[in-house]
Amino acid sequence: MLSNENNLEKSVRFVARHYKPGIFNSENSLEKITGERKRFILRPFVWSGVAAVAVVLIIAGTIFLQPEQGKTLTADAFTTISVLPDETKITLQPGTTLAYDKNFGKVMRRVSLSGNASFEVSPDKEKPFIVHTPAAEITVLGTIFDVVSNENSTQLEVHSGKVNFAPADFPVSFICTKEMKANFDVEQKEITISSTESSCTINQTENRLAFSNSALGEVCRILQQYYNQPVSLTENERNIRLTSGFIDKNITEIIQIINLTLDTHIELK
Amino acid sequence: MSYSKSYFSTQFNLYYRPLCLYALRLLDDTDEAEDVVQDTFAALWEKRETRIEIADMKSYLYTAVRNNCLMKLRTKKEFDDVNELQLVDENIQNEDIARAELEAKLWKMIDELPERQREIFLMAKRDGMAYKEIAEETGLSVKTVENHVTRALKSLRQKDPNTFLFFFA
Repeated sequence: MLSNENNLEKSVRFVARHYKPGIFNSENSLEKITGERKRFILRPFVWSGVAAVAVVLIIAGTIFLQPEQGKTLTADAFTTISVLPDETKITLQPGTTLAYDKNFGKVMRRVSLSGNASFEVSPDKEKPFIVHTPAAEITVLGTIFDVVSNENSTQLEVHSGKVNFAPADFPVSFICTKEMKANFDVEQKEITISSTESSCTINQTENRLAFSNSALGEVCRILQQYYNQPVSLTENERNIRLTSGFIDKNITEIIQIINLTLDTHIELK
Repeated sequence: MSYSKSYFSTQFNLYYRPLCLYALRLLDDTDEAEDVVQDTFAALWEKRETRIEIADMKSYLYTAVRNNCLMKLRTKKEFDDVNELQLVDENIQNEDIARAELEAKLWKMIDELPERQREIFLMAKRDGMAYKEIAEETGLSVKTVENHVTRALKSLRQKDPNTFLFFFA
């Protein structure tokens, strides 16, 4: 009986240590596999459902990386399926060109493309998979996401794993995880990141920051990057939620407002 | 044998969370564990129209998840003796499955606790904090903290009396 009790106590601690709300939930995940977002679809005739594919990239731009001795893959009249040297599977829609240079896979896995393609990125933490688009650079740390991009905006939706979203010429970058969406508008210099529970918008043109139910830890990280000044926060205040908007305020004012409203102890270092 | 979507979703609902906990024991990373389980089910779904017959779905799933986890560990090279592990442990141990099932239940129970209670419960069980420390951290009284933890334990026990009869006594 005693050993049973110990095992149970161990199990409780193990589960408590790893517990995160909203994951390991069969209801949320079944559709992903049987539904429209199914992975591993490599047969062209199934393509008709765009969402049926791991990653969709639509880029109406030019190729950024000119391959030297790399390779340029082109799909002319038909949907073409290719496998990159790292075993990443790509489905290219008609008219799409994807290029990678001779250094592909040495340190990083960089590709650029024009048109519309789907990827199932082969996981390799050492060598991030990077997709160049006109408005942003997307670093794949996990596996499944959608990107819709043109010259004026880039939208990202992550279905699984982690993706680093770094808008061009913008001070803040974001790691997006499951169910998170990011949208960057080049002209407005405005980024919106939203998850199922929170969202945040940063508009550099108007110097406007808006948070909705954002965790304070994340808010401080954003402030720190946006104003390029170190911000400190006590560990136990990281998960306090903030809903607030700041227009044309400096970082000292913002911190003061948050501390007064939430009774917290954020400091500028 | 081709199986229907409803058969597939039954299997999925039945084994998804225990398999996640099983993978978590091997990978120690919730995101990776969930990825492996989803990939395993995706591969199974792909096979639904082939004539591959799976007699014992439960052992098939545990074995597939185990192998996929080992492959993941091997590619990460964090595990030098994966081969050895595989040889020694060729058959999935029933007690590992039982533990995964128990932990899946615990997970669900924690999931269903009211948020405040859950936070305090996690501070006690995850962070190993004493009631007094939790009280200081949250600004609640020790008595309130104690109530929260007791109530959490009680609702866990109520949901599965067999498991917890002797446990939280």
